[in-house]
Amino acid sequence: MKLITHLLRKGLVLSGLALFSYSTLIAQTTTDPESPPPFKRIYHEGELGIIQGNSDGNEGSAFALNVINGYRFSGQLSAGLGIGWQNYDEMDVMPIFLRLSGSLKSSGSTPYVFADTGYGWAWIEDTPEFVRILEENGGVYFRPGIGYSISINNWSLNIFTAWLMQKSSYRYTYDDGWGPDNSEVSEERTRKRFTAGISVRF
Amino acid sequence: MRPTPTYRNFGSFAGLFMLLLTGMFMTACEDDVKVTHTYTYFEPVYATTSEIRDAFDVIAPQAITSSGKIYYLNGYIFLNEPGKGIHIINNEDPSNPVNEAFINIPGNFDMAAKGNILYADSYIDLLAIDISDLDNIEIKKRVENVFPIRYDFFYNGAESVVLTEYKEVRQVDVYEDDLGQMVHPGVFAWGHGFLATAEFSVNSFYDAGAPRSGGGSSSGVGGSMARFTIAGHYLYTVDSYNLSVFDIVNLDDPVAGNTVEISWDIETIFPYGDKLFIGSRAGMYIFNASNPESPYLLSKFEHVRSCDPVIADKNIAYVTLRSGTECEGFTNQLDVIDVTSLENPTLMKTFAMQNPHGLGKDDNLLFIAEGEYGLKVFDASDPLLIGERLLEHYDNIHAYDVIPLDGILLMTGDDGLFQYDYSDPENIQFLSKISVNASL
Repeated sequence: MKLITHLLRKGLVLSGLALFSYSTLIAQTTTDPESPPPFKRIYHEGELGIIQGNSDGNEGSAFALNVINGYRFSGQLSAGLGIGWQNYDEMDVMPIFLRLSGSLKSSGSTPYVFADTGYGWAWIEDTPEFVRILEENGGVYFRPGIGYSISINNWSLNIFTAWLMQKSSYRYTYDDGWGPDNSEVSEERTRKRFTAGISVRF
Repeated sequence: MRPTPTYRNFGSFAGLFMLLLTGMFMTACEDDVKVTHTYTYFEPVYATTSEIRDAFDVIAPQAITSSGKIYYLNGYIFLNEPGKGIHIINNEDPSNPVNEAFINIPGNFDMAAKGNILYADSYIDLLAIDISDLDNIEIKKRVENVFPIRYDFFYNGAESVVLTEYKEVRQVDVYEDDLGQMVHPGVFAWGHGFLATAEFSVNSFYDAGAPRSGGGSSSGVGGSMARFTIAGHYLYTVDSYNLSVFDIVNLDDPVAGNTVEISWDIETIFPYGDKLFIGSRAGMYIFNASNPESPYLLSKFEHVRSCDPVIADKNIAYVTLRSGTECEGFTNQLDVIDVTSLENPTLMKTFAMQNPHGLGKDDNLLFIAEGEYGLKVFDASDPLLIGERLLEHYDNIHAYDVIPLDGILLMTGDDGLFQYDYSDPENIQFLSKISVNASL
């Protein structure tokens, strides 16, 4: 049952990412590669990054996937809606967030800043047999960062770094030898990490 | 060729980016964590030996709050209140037993008596108590530190202390950092959450027992759950590992003698002639006590792991095996064992039981305390047909141990002390009951 729930959750995340990616692909096929992209337009972005920070050794590095669909209001300002997946050692997190970004220049390669704000759903990864999860909650997701966008025809390759905050909590019981559910652990965690990665924007 | 502005910008930005990337690994970017770990453990409670020894007292009769082992001597029933002491009950009229006094003995679970002396344990000590005058009960001798194994015992500075009980404690620990991954239940990788793992020994206290009759005309009669027994001029006691001998030639001056290592999980002792039958969770041991100061092992009859009181009569040993959390195993049965050859005990027959505890035999009647399943009385005239000859089954009481006494059966259980008249086995009569927690 635990395995099925786990697979369903992962399936949900991957489905969401796939849906976003599909819309990106459709948009790409409808863009004329010969003409420069207009300032005002719908854009699509896919990110792959690593997450690193100090959590007393409990969690090492994690990786993150994000897919964002948004609208470019001008040459420098844009906003979008994103969905992602962060794979920590003990938890998976699926953030859904609003992205605001602004670039230094309105065209060509340029530095840019961005901020993601949203909510991350979180759930525990595999647990031993003697552990019983009682509760698992996500929380606020916030990720401001900077990047550099290299313009190539009508798409761009971006590298970025960002600071990430993700709240989560969980509660579980386990048999410590004095009987089932004798011990209970609750954890409230605010992850504060740095992330870095690359993205492609169409 | 000069780089284009785009690549110049990119170079500048890449430098800044690498700086930030380095900072990403160098900076103290720590999670905020609050972990609350709530768990139950058993905290040891200690008393100094002087506190324990000073607590001996004889006080007015007390309500029975928990009945332990029983012993009978000269018209009196001695009923153990586990860990607290002994109720003295005048049983000259079994239909109307009278609770007359209570001997406050911390850490008492076992007893035996001979003549006017009652032998009782008090944690690590053996007491010889003069009961010739119930209005003036007194300790004649305290043999100190002779039961060190049954109870944790160590020295705290100059004064020794005794583990008296484990107190259940619900603990809440709050940490502002990680527990780390759980290495195994209760132990986390990051240094917090080590739980107390002390052995919960209260149950083993309750295992300690009362004695059965021994040689000599003036010793009393105990139950089959006994850890103390008297044979001739010697008191024999068993702890979880050892058989200990006390010389009681001078009744009020017991002298510690030899200690014989047996095995582990030893539970009961029963004298039969010059032999000692010792029950353990792994099997029945037969010791030869023809040289009473130095009993030695004759044989062992092994069985599955379970709790195992034993009695013997007419070259046949009767062993009950029971299951339970403490006893382990899943076996509930009566084993009938031919001990004609003491060096080679042989299983004659096994009968299924429900949860047998203590047992007692008088002539052809076999009484078995079946715990929550009550008391059973069998016709044991043919040892091979015991299971088919159930005479009575009192299934509405809890039965822990029994002592059959020439027509009067004493039985203890969670509900108190019961007595039955079985002089007519076809018509067993209830005589009396002293209830647990009954007001006096």
